[in-house]
Amino acid sequence: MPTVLVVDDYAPNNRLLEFVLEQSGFAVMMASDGMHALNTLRSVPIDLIVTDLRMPRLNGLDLVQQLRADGQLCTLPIVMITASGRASDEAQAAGLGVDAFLTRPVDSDELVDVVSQIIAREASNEGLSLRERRRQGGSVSSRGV
Amino acid sequence: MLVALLSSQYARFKALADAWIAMGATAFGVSQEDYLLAYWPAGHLLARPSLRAPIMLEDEELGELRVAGLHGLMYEQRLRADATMLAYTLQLERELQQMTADLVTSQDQQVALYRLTQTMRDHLTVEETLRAVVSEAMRMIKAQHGYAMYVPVDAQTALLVQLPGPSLQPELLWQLFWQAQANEQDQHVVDVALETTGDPTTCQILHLPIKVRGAYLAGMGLASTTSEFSAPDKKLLRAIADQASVQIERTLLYKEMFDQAKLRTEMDLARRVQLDLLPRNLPHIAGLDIYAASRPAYEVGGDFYDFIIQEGRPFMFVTGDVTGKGLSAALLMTMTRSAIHSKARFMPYPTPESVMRQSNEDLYSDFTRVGVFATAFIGQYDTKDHTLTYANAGHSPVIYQPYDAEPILLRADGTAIGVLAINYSRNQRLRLRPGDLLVVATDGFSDMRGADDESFGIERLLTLVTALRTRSAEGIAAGMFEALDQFGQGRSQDDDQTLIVMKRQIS
Repeated sequence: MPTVLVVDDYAPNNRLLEFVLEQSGFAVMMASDGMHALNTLRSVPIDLIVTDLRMPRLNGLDLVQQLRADGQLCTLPIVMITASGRASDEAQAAGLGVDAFLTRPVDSDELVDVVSQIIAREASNEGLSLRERRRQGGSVSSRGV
Repeated sequence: MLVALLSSQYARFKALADAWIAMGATAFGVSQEDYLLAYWPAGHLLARPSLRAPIMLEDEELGELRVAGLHGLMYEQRLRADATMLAYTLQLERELQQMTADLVTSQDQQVALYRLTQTMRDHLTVEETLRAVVSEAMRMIKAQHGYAMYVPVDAQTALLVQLPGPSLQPELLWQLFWQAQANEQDQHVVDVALETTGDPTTCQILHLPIKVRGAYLAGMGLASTTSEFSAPDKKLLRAIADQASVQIERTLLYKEMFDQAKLRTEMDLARRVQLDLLPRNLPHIAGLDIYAASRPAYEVGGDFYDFIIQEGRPFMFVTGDVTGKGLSAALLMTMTRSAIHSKARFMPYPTPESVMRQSNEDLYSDFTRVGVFATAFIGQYDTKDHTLTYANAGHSPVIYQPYDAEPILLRADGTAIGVLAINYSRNQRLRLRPGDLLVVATDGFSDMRGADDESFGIERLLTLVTALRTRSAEGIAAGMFEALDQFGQGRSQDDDQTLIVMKRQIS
C-alpha cells in the first residue's frame, strides 16, 4: 500500500485529503507544516507528498526547495495544492520540479487520479528517468501527469 | 474502526495503559474478537485478565479493554468508564468520517458545478448545451445513461439527446417529459426495464423538467442500473437542471442576437445595393428642371428610379417599386431595373408601352415563380414638342400638376409587371407647358403613417404638390420629404420613399 504524506496547516483540509486518499487505498500520514513534514520524511518511508502551498514556518515552495536539495529525498514526487490559483505560483512550483499542481477546491476523483498516476509512473521504467531529472534539479510536469 | 483509532491515537492509548500500570496493574490491553490488538508492557499477553470491559457502540461490541493484576469493584467501574469513553470517541470518529464523506461529496459537487458553468460557456447551440449538461450530470452522479430534450416554442424541431447512446426508448422519455410538463412536477422517478446488450435489466430514471423563459420547454434525466438515486443526487441534479435552464436561455438569446445582427447586415447590404444602382447624376434635359431622390427605409424595400439618355433618342425615365423587403427585394429590383434599362436602350424604337410589355415578358415567369411583382412608371420626353409619353403599370402616386389648374392623378391603366403574362399598359400622352409639373413618387409617400397610425394619403399629397408647385424641382422634393417627416412625428419610415420631380422651365 503506497504511503502518501499530506502536508497542510489547516487540520480540516488534512482530514479531507486523508479521507479521500484512504478511501482509495492509500496509507496516509499527516504533517501540519513543512518543518513537520521534513521530520516525518526523515523517519518514515513515503511514496508521494501532497502539500499545501501556503503554510507557516516552512511553506510548500520552501519545502519543495529543501527536498530537491536533499540527497535522500530529492526524488520524491510532489503534488502541490493551492487556493490562490495564481499562474505565478504554478510556474514557480513547476520550476522547482513539482509533479502536479491542483487548485482548491480539489475534485476528489481528480486528486486520486493524479496521485495514482504519479505513483504508477514512479513504479514504471519512466520513474527512473524522472527521479534522475529531479535529482538534477529539472522540472517534471507543471500540471497533471 | 478500533484498529484505525488505535493507530491514529496510539500515544493516548499508551498513556491510558501507563495510568493503569501506575495504579498497580500488571498489564493493560485492547482486544478485538479475542485478538489482542495492543498491550502494555511488551511481552505480557494478558492471557488471564483480572478485569474486562466491553467497548459497546449502539449494541455492537467493537472490542474489549483488559487489565491484569487488579481486582475490585472500584477498578471494574473505572475500566468500564474508560471503555465507555472510548466508545464515545469511536462514535465521534464515526460521525466525523460521515461528515467528512459528506463534505467531500459537497466539495466535489461544488467543483463539478463550477466546471459545468465553465464548460457551458463554450457551447453556442441548444444541442451542444444539452449534451454537455447530460455528460456532466452523468459524471457527477455516476449514472450509466442520461438524456435531455428541448421543444422550441415553434415546436418544429423537438430535440432529444441521449448519452452514451440511444439506449432508452424515446417514446418513454417523451412520455416522462409531457407528464412532468402537465403536472409541473419538480422531479419524477420511475423504474423501467432497460434493453442494453440484449440483457434486459431494470433501471431507475430520475426525470426533471427544465423551465425555459417561464415554460417547461426542456427536460433532462438520468438512468441508473446500479443503485437508486439518493436525496443529494436529486438535489444536485436539480441544481444542474437549473444551470441548464440558464444556459439554454443564454443560448437562445445569443441566437436571437446573432439573427438580428445577420438581418442588420443583410439590410445594410440591401440598402447599399439599392443606393449604388441609382443614377449618380441628375440628367440635364433642355427645358426641364429634374430632381430625383430615394430614401430607403430601415427594412429596405425595392424602390428604384432610372434615367436613360442616348444621343438621338428621346429621354426616358423610370420609377418602380418591387414588392417585398430586404435583400430579396433589392435583388429583384436590380432585375427589373436592368430589364427596363436594356429594353429602353437597345430596342429599335422604344416607347414606354413597348418597353413595359417587353420587360414584363422577360420578368413574368421569374416573378410568378417567386410570387412578386413590380409597379413601374416609364416616361419618355420629347424636347422638341414637350410631349410626355408614359405607360403606367400599376404605379401610384403619379401627379400631374398643371401650372394653372388642379392636380391630376395619372392612374395606371395596366397591371404591375409580373402579374399577367401580357402587360396591357398603353402609351398615354400629355404636353407639358411652361410651369407644369410632374411628380412620380412611390407608395412610401402616400402610405407613410403618422403618430396616430393614419396614412398620409393621396389627397394630402395632391394638396402638398399644389402648395409646392412654384418651387424648383429640388425644392419640391425637399418640401415633400419635410412634410412627410412632420407628419410622421419621429415615427420610423416603414417603406422606401422615392420620387422623380420634373418641371417644365418657364423660359
